[in-house]
Formats: sequence, structure tokens, C-alpha cells
Amino acid sequence: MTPAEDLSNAREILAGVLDLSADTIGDDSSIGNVEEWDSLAHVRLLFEIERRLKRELSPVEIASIASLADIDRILALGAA
Amino acid sequence: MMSAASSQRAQPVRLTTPRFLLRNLLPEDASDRYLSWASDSDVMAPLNAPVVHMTRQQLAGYISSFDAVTRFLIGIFLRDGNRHIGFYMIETDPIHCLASFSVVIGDKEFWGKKVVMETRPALLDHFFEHRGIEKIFGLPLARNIPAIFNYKAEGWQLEGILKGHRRSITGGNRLDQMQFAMLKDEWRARRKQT
Repeated sequence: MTPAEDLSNAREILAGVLDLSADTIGDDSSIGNVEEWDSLAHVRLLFEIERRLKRELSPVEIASIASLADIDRILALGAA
Repeated sequence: MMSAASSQRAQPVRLTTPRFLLRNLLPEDASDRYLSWASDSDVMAPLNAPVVHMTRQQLAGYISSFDAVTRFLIGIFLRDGNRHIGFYMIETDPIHCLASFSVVIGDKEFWGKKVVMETRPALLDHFFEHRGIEKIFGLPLARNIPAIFNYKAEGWQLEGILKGHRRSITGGNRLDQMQFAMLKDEWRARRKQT
């Protein structure tokens, strides 16, 4: 599986944990530019990614997630 | 020759941010509220620290063990109402101009309220600019996701993952730990951008 060109899966997950509409999540969304993305939302996000991948994220993966594009990449790698 | 950091005398920290006051804790800050955090597994588990039941007197003694020269226990208080919600523990190495930071938000009402994002920059400014520190690092456990979020959001660099560096106090299994760090020049550059 390769990263989705429209980042749709990642966008759906991020919007869900932030309780936002998916169309408000821009392609450049990151922990530095989305007000609702706080530390507790980040916990929910990583747990949701793990639930979808059916495995725990590695420390390297945990440390690498800071943007919508990162989520998309992890989903793609995890499903490969 | 003494470094800038080692030539300093004990000087309490007192800093303010829009919502919070940061100041050295005093023995009289040993409250039931503070004691309750040490006995709360939700608060202690992310730190891999055991739940402890202390008396006020024991906690006051612990607070007194911080000398405000190389070891700092800095409380986080609401400016509005002076409510104590957490603390930083900071230890400095004057020889190498290093400091280690760790933080506990004991008041669960403030979890996810960006307390660390607001307060730690003030401490970074202070220790870099006024205490002669040139590098600051933190060592969160690899599953302490809120802590990792805060380091990444503030632009700290992940320097390494220490495999099996801690023994779990609950299960005895080995836990990975991360080292995040910020150099003085990196912090100054980041401050210029914001």
C-alpha cells in the first residue's frame, strides 16, 4: 500500500480524534498549526492508528508523527 | 576557571506566563493536594514512578532537598487564584552547562490544556539566558505520548531511543526511553521565528 494521494484515511482519523469536520483538515495540518491538536488528542490519535493497524506503534513511529502526512505514511507502512 | 553556571549562587526562579506563575516550591507548599498526586497511579504511571503515600512533613522535607543551585523544584500555579497544578524538576550540570527537565501536571483538569506548551518556553528562556545553560534535555518513556507530543510541538530534537533503558515498576519488563534535547542556539533561532 502506498500513501493515499488525497490523504483521505489520515484525514478521517485526524478529524475524528480532533472532533472536527474532515474538510477543515488541510493537507499541511500539523501539531504546530491545528489548535485542537493537543497532547490528549495526540494520545487518542496514536491509539486510533494502533487500533487500525492492529499492533503497537514502535518508538520510532511514535516519535515520527507530527503531521497529517506523517499519519498517512505510517498507515501506508503499517498496511504494507 | 568556573563556568557561568557554576559561579551562580542560589536564586529562586520566579516567572510568569499569561495563565501561570512558576516559582520554586517551598516546604509550606506541601499540601494535601500535592500529596494526592504522588498517590495517584494515573499521574505516576506515565513516569514509571511508584505510587507513594507520604505525610505533609515528608513532602516538605523532599521539597527542602532542592537547593535552587543545581536542583530545582518549580511549582506551576494559576495566576488567577494561585492554585497549584503541577511542577517541574530541573537538575543542572554546571561543568557541562547542561540541564535535565521533567514535568508533572498533577491536576487532571489541566491535562490537554497546553500547560507545558505555555510554561516550558519561559523556563527554557530563563535557563539559557540567565543560568548559563547551553543544552537542555528530557527523557520521556517511549509510551509517554503526551510528553512526546509536547517535545515535538516545541521543536526539541529526538537524539535517540534508549532500548530497554528502564525496568517497569508494575510488570518488571524493560521499557524504552527517548532522549529529546534543545540547544541554546536552536532555541534562540526558534524564538526568532515565533
